[in-house]
Order: sequence, then structure tokens, then C-alpha cells
Amino acid sequence: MINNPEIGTHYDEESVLEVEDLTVTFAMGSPWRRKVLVPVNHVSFSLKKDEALGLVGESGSGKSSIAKALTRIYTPTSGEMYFHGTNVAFIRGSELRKYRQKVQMVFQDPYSALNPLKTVHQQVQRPLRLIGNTQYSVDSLLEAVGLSRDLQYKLPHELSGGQRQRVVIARAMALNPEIIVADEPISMLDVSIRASILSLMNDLRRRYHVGYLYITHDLASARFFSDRIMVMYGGHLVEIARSAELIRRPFHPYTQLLLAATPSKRQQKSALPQTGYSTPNLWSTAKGCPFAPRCLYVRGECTINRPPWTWVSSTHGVACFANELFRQPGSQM
Amino acid sequence: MIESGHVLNVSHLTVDYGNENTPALALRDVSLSVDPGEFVGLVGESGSGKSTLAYAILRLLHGGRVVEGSIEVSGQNVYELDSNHLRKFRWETVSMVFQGAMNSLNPVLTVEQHIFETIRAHDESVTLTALRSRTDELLDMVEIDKRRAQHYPHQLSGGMKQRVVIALAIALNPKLVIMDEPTTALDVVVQRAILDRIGEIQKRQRFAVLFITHDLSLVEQIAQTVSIMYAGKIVETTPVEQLLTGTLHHPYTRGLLNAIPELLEDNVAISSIPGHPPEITRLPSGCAFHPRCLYAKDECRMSPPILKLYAGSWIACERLPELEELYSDQ
Ligand SMILES: Nc1ncnc2c1ncn2[C@@H]1O[C@H](COP(=O)(O)OP(=O)(O)OP(=O)(O)O)[C@@H](O)[C@H]1O
Ligand SMILES: Nc1ncnc2c1ncn2[C@@H]1O[C@H](COP(=O)(O)OP(=O)(O)OP(=O)(O)O)[C@@H](O)[C@H]1O
Ligand SMILES: [Mg+2]
Ligand SMILES: [Mg+2]
Repeated sequence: MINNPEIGTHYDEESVLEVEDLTVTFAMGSPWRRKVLVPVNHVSFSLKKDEALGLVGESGSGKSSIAKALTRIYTPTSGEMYFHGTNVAFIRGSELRKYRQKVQMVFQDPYSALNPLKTVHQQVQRPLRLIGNTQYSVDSLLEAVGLSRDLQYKLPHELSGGQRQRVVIARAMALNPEIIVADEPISMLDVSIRASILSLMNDLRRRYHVGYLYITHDLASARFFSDRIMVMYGGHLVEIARSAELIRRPFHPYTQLLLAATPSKRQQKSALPQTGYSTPNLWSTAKGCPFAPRCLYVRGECTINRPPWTWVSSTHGVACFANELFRQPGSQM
Repeated sequence: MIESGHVLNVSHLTVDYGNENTPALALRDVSLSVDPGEFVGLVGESGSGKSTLAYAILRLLHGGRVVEGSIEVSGQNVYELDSNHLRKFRWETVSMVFQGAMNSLNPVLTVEQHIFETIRAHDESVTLTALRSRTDELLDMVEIDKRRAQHYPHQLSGGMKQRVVIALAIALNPKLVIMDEPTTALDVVVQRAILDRIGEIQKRQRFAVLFITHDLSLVEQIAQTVSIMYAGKIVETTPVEQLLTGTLHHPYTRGLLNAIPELLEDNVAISSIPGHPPEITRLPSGCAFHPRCLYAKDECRMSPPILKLYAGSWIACERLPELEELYSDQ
């Protein structure tokens, strides 16, 4: 049994990564009938030193696209990403190689992430050699991720899903990263081993001071693992808050919907707070709030203008016109 | 033939994927029954044999043999049906939503054509008008806009494709629908919407559902009875209320329940079950769960425990009478 780490110790520290107005687009269709998809639409946030920041949102809301922009698998269309103060959004060549080593990605599927012909030992040793990392050895990394040494000469197909994901994490750690972007690292694993992978990541964070962007569509694991949680919908960042606060006082109607749909032992099953189900419009021609078609609180301006960002408190922000949802009684906003 | 009253009655089923030298028992002495109109959840980790059971019920096992036991659907022994009856039996009596089915919709057929083909395959004389009205009805049931009837799979979101697959499964009014992980790739909001829909249609059309998933928290919301499978054996069958109220459970079930995080509590904790499930060619002796069980004793390594009724649940655990005390000691 492991408990949620102390929350809120990181706020005064300097951010490692500062993302401003990040936009990722994909041109689709033929050149003469170009349509532009915007999975990441003017998103801003920051990641503090060894913070775990959760990113939740509906399928197709742009979570993986943010991950791939941060790790520079994709080049952003516009915006800035400051890593220790340097804008890395458009760097190239050796600068980019150096950056990529510092920001590692762990993917959802531990089955396809490993080379099927290389032993566990080889998979972990290669990145160590690559950067001449003398701080760790294969042994120490395998130990850090909780894999027994008898497993080191095995091939990926001889390992269980949970063991594979540990190898993937060990391999990422070998590069001495400052940030690990974990894109649904446990969703393909059995429920009974999920917690052990999360607590491993938590452990590494404390011992080696790695920060995490933890992507999931499972609010419960986001709360368990992260200091803060950001919520995305249709390419927009719609809410951000400290984890416990976001669960206790969700402001955005989509966050409320997500919370109502998340299974919980104590909650009685009730109707979902939405007008109906539809998928968000990600085309560049879309106007207003992407959640408007499903929103119980929709009003005229929601379909015309982009909702303004409001910091309800210094750590809790939301993008929504329905400010009756978050106005404090008696206060002026 | 005597009607047993159950739509589905699986008794003492054992399925082997191995050969003479190395048996690979994917199901071992599995018994399970489903009543008309009932919603039964079958929960287990990857490789526990859930899909194997579904295939065995439809007589679709590939490379596996039923070495013991029997399966009856509406009182008929499935393995005694001749090929004519078997065709009618599949889809008209029992239909199935296959694991990953939403990714295997035919890319060159529209939604409507999928439904037409399914119905025509069983009734060649059906008129176009009848087909059209049944299609409308089905799309309405799964809450897909009629304008989508002309769309191809790639024009639909994952949630919509999944609804189409469900519409196909209920197209011929079966008595039992088997759903193998129908919502796994979808996010919670979409999952919930689909589950709610299935529940409503099921009540209206009065078919029974065998719902297969690895996610216990999902069936808690909708099933009446839940069976938990581990390494090819059912280790517990319990009414769903007992899962929610936290009465006595098998140590494995308890582990699965603890793995569901409590979202609203101030102190969030998730626990896991150490170790991982065995391979079916190298099953541990006695109770297959014993290497991972906190309460295993010598007797658990000896002979496999049988299901016994205890406080309303069927539980297969050698230490059953003592469990209550063992749990309270923690
Ligand atoms: N390389 C690409 N080319 C074109 N479209 C893309 C590409 N990558 C992503 N998209 C589109 O961007 C949108 C957002 O996708 P993304 O994978 O970021 O979502 P997600 O939030 O990670 O979803 P999920 O929870 O299903 O993984 C989708 O509509 C997707 O089809
Ligand atoms: N055609 C086959 N030949 C040999 N072994 C098989 C075959 N199909 C399944 N198995 C084995 O039988 C066991 C049960 O598999 P099954 O697919 O029924 O599990 P499951 O519970 O559906 O798992 P999942 O949750 O991953 O779908 C596994 O050990 C699997 O490797
Ligand atoms: Mg993704
Ligand atoms: Mg299966």
C-alpha cells in the first residue's frame, strides 16, 4: 500500500519546462482542399522541478500530441517551450539530440516498445553506453525498477506486460532524464500490477528527481500519482488544479462529467451530466468552446468566442464562460 | 430435452490447448450459469481464459479441445448440434461481440450494409422495407444518428464503431449476447454511455448478457452476478451487491477490489497484487493463486479448492472459514 505523495511542495521552485501558447496542427486532405486539424490549440502550462503533472482528457483530445510535441517527435506549429529558459520548440541538430535525452517518453504499449531480438541487459546497456553514463549500471537500473537479475538475459516475449514496462522505464532512466513523459504507461497492464508501476515511477521521482508528465484518461490514477492535474478537451486546456482540489471542486463542466463517469466505490451510479454524446470538432474552422455541444451550462457566447481563462485561485484555473460554476459567493471577479 | 431454466449452463468445462506431452489447460472445471434476462460479468486478468470460454460456448475454439464437461444453451447441448442447427444457433440464439471487433468492421461496407448483411445471412427472404425499418430501429437503440447509416467505419469514432458492433450482435434478437471486452479501448465517459445503453436495451429486449472484462469496476455498475476467473478457474461467483458492500471474498477478488482506487477519499491509495499470473503450461500445484496469496498455507499447495457457498457467495478457497478472521487481523 502506498500513499499519495505530499502535495504542493513544488510551487515556489523554478519551472523546468514552461510551455506557452503551444499549437500543433496537421494538414489533411489534398493540397487544393486543405483542411487543418488542431489537436493542440494554444495550450500553456509549466512543469516544476521533479513535479508530477497529470494530463487527462477524452480520447482524441490531444494528449498524445502534446506529449509528442514536448519530446519533439512533432515540431510545434507555433508557440514556445522553454526548457531551463531556452526555447526548444524549434531547435535542431545536436541541440535537439541533447534535449531529447533529457526528456524521455514512455509509451502505452510495452509490447512494441522493446526490440524483440535484444535481451533485457542489452536494451538497458545500449543507452548507458550511448551517453557514457557512469552514474548507473545495468544492475543498478534493473534493481531500481524492481526487476530481478535472473531476468536480464531474457527476451521481451519471455516477460509479462508489467515486467516489460519496467524494462522500458529502466531504459528511459539510463539516459539520466530530467523529465519523463509517460503516455498511458499502465493502461495496457492488468489492474493488479498497475499500482506497482505507478509506485515505481513515484519512487524514481523521489530518488533521482525526475519530473513527470503523466498522461491518462483515468482520473483516479492521475489523482493518485500527480501533484497537479490538467484537463484537456478537444485540443483546449480547460482546467488545471492541484489534484485533490480538482477532484473535490471541479469547475469545468467537462471535468465534472469526467468525474461523474469515473467508477468509485462510494458514488452511486447516476445520469451523466451532459446533454448528449458527441465528439469534439478539431478542425481549424471550429469556433468557441469545443465542449459547448455537450454542455449543460451552454450559452450564446460559448459557440462564438473562445472561453476566457480564469485563475479562480492562484493554483486553480479554468477556461469557461459559466462563471457561476466557480465564482465564490460574495466575491467580485 | 428438459429445459433447465438457464439460458446458459456450462458445467465442469475443461479446455486444453496443449498436446499429449504438455497439456495447456486454459479452462479447468469451469461451471457457470446465466438466467434469462440476467447480466453476468466475467472478470479476470489477461490470459485467465475469458475469451476461451466465450469461444467454447459458440463452438469456435481454434486449436483447443473440450476435454471434459458440457455446455447447454436453452437446454440444448451445444456440442450435439448438427451443422444446420449450429448455424442458426450462432447469432440467432447466442451472438457475440468479439474482442477488438470494432477494429474488424469491413472498411468497404457502410453501417447500413453491415446490418443488412447480418440479417440477410439468416433470412434470405427478408424485404428491403423490413431491413430498412429494422436498421432504423437498431441504430435508434444504440443511439446512432440515422444519417450515419451511410457512413463507412473510418468516418466513425471508436465509440460509434463499438455501438455498431453491438447493434449487429442484437440484430437477430438472440437470447444471450456474449460481449468480450466491448469497451476496453474507450475512455470512461464513452464507456459509461455505452454500458448504460446496453443496460436499457437489455431490459427492453430481455436477452441475457455475459459480459467479459478485466475491469471489475466496470461490471460493478451493471451486472447482477459477477464471476471471477483466475488461471482458468472460477474462484468466486457473487451477487454484485456483495462486491459493493464488501462482505467476505476470495483473496484474489479482494486484491482486485483493492486495486480500484478510491477517488473521493482524502488519502488516495492503490494497492496491487504482487507477482503475476502463471503460464497455463506451468500451473502451480493446488490452488493456482497460492504463490501470490498472502494467506497461503501448506494445504493450499496440495489440492485445488472447490467452490463452496459462504455468506451468499461461491468461493473456492481452502482457508475459507478462517478468511474472515485473517482479514480482520490486518
Ligand atoms: N500524425 C497525425 N496526423 C494526423 N492527425 C493526427 C496525428 N496525430 C494525431 N492526430 C489527430 O489528432 C487528434 C488528437 O489525437 P491524440 O492522439 O493527441 O489524442 P489523445 O488525447 O492522445 O487520444 P487517446 O486518449 O485516444 O490516445 C486525433 O483526432 C488524431 O486523429
Ligand atoms: N489458440 C491458442 N493456442 C494455444 N494457446 C492459446 C490459444 N488461445 C489462447 N491460448 C492460451 O490460453 C490462455 C487463455 O487465453 P484467453 O485468450 O482465453 O485469455 P483471456 O482471459 O481472454 O485474456 P485477455 O484478457 O488477454 O483477452 C492463455 O494462456 C493463452 O495463451
Ligand atoms: Mg493518446
Ligand atoms: Mg480475451
